[in-house]
This record gives sequence, C-alpha cells and structure tokens, in this order.
Amino acid sequence: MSALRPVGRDAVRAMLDDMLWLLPVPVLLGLAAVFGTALADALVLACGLGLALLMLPGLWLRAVVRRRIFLRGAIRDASYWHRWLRGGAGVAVLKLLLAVPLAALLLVAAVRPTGWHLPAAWVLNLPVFVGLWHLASRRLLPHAVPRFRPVLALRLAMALNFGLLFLVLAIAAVFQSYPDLGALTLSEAMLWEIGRQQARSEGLLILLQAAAAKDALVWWLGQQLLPGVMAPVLQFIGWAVWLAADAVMLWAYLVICASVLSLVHWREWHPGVDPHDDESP
Amino acid sequence: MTTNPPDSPPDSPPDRRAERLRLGTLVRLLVLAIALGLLLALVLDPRVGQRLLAPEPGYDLVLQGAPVRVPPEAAERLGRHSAWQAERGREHATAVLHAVLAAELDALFDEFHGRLPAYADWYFSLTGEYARLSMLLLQRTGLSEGDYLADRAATLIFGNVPLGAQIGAIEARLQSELRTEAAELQAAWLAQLLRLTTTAQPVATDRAPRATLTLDDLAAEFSGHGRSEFLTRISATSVGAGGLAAAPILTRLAAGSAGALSGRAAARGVSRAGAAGASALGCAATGPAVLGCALVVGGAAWVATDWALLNADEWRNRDALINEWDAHLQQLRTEFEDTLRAHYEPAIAAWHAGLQLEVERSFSPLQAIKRTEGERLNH
Repeated sequence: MSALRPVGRDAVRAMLDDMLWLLPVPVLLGLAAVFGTALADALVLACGLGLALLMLPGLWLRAVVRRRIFLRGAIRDASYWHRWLRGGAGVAVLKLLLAVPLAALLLVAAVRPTGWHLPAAWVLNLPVFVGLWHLASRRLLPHAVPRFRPVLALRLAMALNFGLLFLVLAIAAVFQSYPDLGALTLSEAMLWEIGRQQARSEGLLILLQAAAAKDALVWWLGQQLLPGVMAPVLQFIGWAVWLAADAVMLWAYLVICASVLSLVHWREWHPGVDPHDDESP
Repeated sequence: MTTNPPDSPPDSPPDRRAERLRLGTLVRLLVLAIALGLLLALVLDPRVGQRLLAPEPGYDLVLQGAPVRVPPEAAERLGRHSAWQAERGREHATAVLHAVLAAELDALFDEFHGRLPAYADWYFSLTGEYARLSMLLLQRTGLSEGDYLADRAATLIFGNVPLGAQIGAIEARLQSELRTEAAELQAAWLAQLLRLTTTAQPVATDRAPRATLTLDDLAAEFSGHGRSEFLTRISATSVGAGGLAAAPILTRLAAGSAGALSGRAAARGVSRAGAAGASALGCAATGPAVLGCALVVGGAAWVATDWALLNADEWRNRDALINEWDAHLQQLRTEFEDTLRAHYEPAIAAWHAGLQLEVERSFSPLQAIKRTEGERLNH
C-alpha cells in the first residue's frame, strides 16, 4: 500500500490521475443534461440504473469498511460473526436500493436546466474533491490504521467537500436571478413551472415536474417571505434551509465521485478479509 | 493511469527518469486543463449542446398568441391526431345523440304507457261515455269545435305538461350533453397538444421556425364555437312540438277509439232502448202518473243497462284497446326519434366537416413543405 502515501511529484501525479479518472462524471452528467429530455423511457431507465450501478462500489466499500471497523472493535477474532457481518451481497443489494433514488435525483438535477451554477460546480469540484481526499489521507497518516485509512479519508473528504459545495451553491443561490412569481398564487406558480418542463420520456417528465413543483415552492416562498426578513444573516439562513432539499442531490454527486475513485483504487482501498493485517505497511 | 510511478529500466539514468516523470505529469496536467476548460465552456454556453442535439429548427405551434416550438415529427403527429380526434368527435356526438334520445324517449313513453289504464278507465266509464256522446252531439250540431276525444286522450296520456314542453326538455338535455361532448373533445385535444409539446424532442429555438402553425381556429372548432357554429346551431333551432307529428297520431288514436265507440254505442243503444221500453210498460197500471213513472223507470233502466253493457264491453275489449293505443304510442315514439335525429345529425355532420377543414387548413404548411422537399430531392 505504498501507493497510498505518494510524496512530491508522485503525489501531484497521483492527484492528476485521480482527477482524470473523475472527468467522466461531469461528462456523463453533461450528456444527460443535453440528451436526457430526448431519451425514451427505456433509455432513461437504463441511464438511471447505470448511474445507480456506478454509485454502488463506493457505497458498498464504505459500508464494508464501517462493518470491518465495528467487527474489529466489538467482536472477537474467533467469532463466526466476522463472516456474517463483514458485508457481502446482502449489503450490496441494500446499497443498490439506496443508490437508485440517489441516481434518479442526480439524473433529474442534471436534466433540469436551472442555470449554469450547478454544472459549473460539478466540473470545478473535481480538483477540489481529489485535493481534499489527498489532504485528508495525509492528515490521517499518523492517526488511522492503514487498512482503513483510504476509505476514512474518503469519508472525511466527502463531508468537507459537501460542506464547501453546499456553502458555495447557497451563496450562488442568493445572487442568482429567479422568475418573478410575486404576483401569482402558490398553485399558479407551481403549475407555471410544471408546465415549462419538457421530456420525451413520460417517467422522466413526471420526475422533472415534481422537481419543478419543489423549485416553484421554494422560489415562491422566497419571494413572498424573504423580503420581510431584513437581516442578511437570517436571509442566508433562510436560503440555506430551502437549499437543504438540494443537499441530497449534492450528496448523490459526491457519492458517484467517491464511487469512481473506489473503483479505480479498489484493490488498494479494500480492507481485505484478514482481521490481523491492520498494521501492515 | 495508476498512482504508482512507472517502473524505469534499471540502467536508465536518474535524471532521465525524473524527466519522464515530469513530462508525464505535465501531459496529465495539460489534458486535465483542456478537458476542464472544454467542459466549462460547454456549461457556460448551452447553445453548443443545443446545436448538437437539435439541428432542426422545427415548427412553431401558436395557440392564443403563445408559440411552442416542436420538431416536425411532433407537428405531423398532432396533425394526424387532430384528424383522428375530429372523427372521434363525430362518432361520440352521434352516439350521444342516439343514447340520449333513446334513454329520454324511453323514459317519457314508459310514463305515457303507464297512463293508458287510467285512460281506459275513463273511456269505459259512464261519465266518459256520456261526455263523449254529448261532445259528439255538440260537434255535430256545430255548438262545439275541436276534437274532444283527442284532447282528452292528450290530457290523460301525456299529462298536464304540454307535449311540446316535454320534448323541449329532452332537447335541452341533449344540447347540454352535446355541449359537454364538445368541451371534452377540446380538452382531450388540448391535453394531447400539451403531451406532444412536453414529451417531444427538444428543438433549436435560436433560429426561425420552418413554419408557424396557428391553431386558434382549430381549437375553437373543437370547442364547437368555430366556423361551423355547432353549438349555436344546435341551441338556436329546436324541433319542439311544432316539428313533431303528435297531432296525426293523436287523431288516429282518438279515431280508433271513436270508431270502436260508435259501433259499440249503436249496439248498446238498441239494447238500452229495448230495456227502457220494457221497463216503461210496467208503469201502465199507474194511471195518471204513467208518464212520470215511465220516464223515471225507463231512465233508470237505460242507465243500468248502459252500465252493464259498458262493463261487458270493457271486459271484452279493454286489453285489445290498450294494446292498440300502445302500438300508436310506439309509432309516435319512433316518429319523434326519427324527427329529432334528422334535426341534429346534419349539425353534427357540419361540425365534423368544419373540423376536417380546419385540420387541413391548420396543418397545410406541413404538407406544402414536405412537397417542396420531395420535389427538391427529385431534382
């Protein structure tokens, strides 16, 4: 596992490699944004399932590491529970069930045009995410067990990146321009936004309309209530609360990034099955 | 692309290995920068993606001044669907016409049929008998006008509400159903238009459309307010009692009754006169009061004989007469239904023709463009 601690030029090169590996993520999301509305039902379903399957390795690996940490700390080495709880096909199926709604959410966010901020964040965040992982991996060097360190660093990087991304998008959302819904009732605003959605696939159209209704609700509330809130801090908190709905989508994006890295480094990051190799170099 | 540095040959000098590492890193950095820059350019200028997706400018469908851009296939589908919807509108309106008329006339004539026994009761009663005879006498002597039996039959069978008003109510319900049908047809057409515009492939909106199809007239025609003026036509004109052939049927019904009546009345007259004469003979012994006695006894005998003969007549002929009247009512119902159908079916046919005309007119630019493109390809 010496590759986990690259130094100097090797570290830069490893980071660049990881960034290059992550490039397909915004490309895929961009293709979904351009062609998503033109796809038939079957193709949309295939895209959603493809995204879910791409998310699966990362979700599964992190679940496996979490279980191994628990087994190592709580269960005796000789116990047969090690075999049962180490995380196998059952955990993979559960994680696939979690990945499907996350993939649907990410697909809708990609297809639904809501301005340039989100796609730009998807592109610009790649170096940030990789940098955060490498930084976390280095910082965890004296503290974490080598066997679990890459995935622990991944968790830490995801949490930090999520906070950063959310903060940036929340600030961008404050300065973004929105349709003027002030003269409409809530139902009119929602119907207006729903009516603007367009997709060849009826299933995708329903999801887009649901997302449009949610956005119209947020915008309408923002335009009806926020003008009364004068303090900028309160205004920011208000936007942040409303953006919480988008937090899941951001998390889905980070899950897919983490999953791509997990696939690339699968052999190095997998904790293995031997409970005694914790101190291996 | 792995995180491990590539293995160098054991005999290569260290500076050459460092040089290769640096070059590899630079290449990676360059590729990454170009890729990220390209992706950002695509993100910031969505027209590039739109051009990739939709080289066709498509057609503008304009409804109430609001244009919606759709690809050619969607416009053609809407044209085909509109023609199908027009055909469906005609079929549904005709089905509604037949169903409403059948249901309403069935209900009305069931009610009439239920009143026939009451009419028969009056017909075979002494009051009915003498009223008929009196009115017959008055009509013969010119003291009364009109057909008393037909009027009485109309009152007892058709009820107190004039037949024209009852048919008018049926027409009002029919017109309401046809209005609903037109509204539903327009709603279905608009729903299909909305579905086509929302589920169609996206088209380029940064260029002028190939053609603009204005659908306002077609939408108005679907709603029944178009050039064919379907709703105005069915509402403004009404068949009513005037256009229906109730009077001849009633005359026939009364004539049948009157014919039977006069035949049986003549027979009953002979019996009554005989019975009255025989009873009056019994008063011969009363001396000076013979005239009064003969009048009272003869009159009583006349009425009693008449009552007995009427009952016997009812016992023999009531069912046959009710069946005869029922047959006349059925004939009246059929004539009503035929007349109403003949009145409303041309309006539906004119609506359908108007819809077909509007479909052809609204989507004619599509055909013209296809023809032009076909000729260009041939040349």
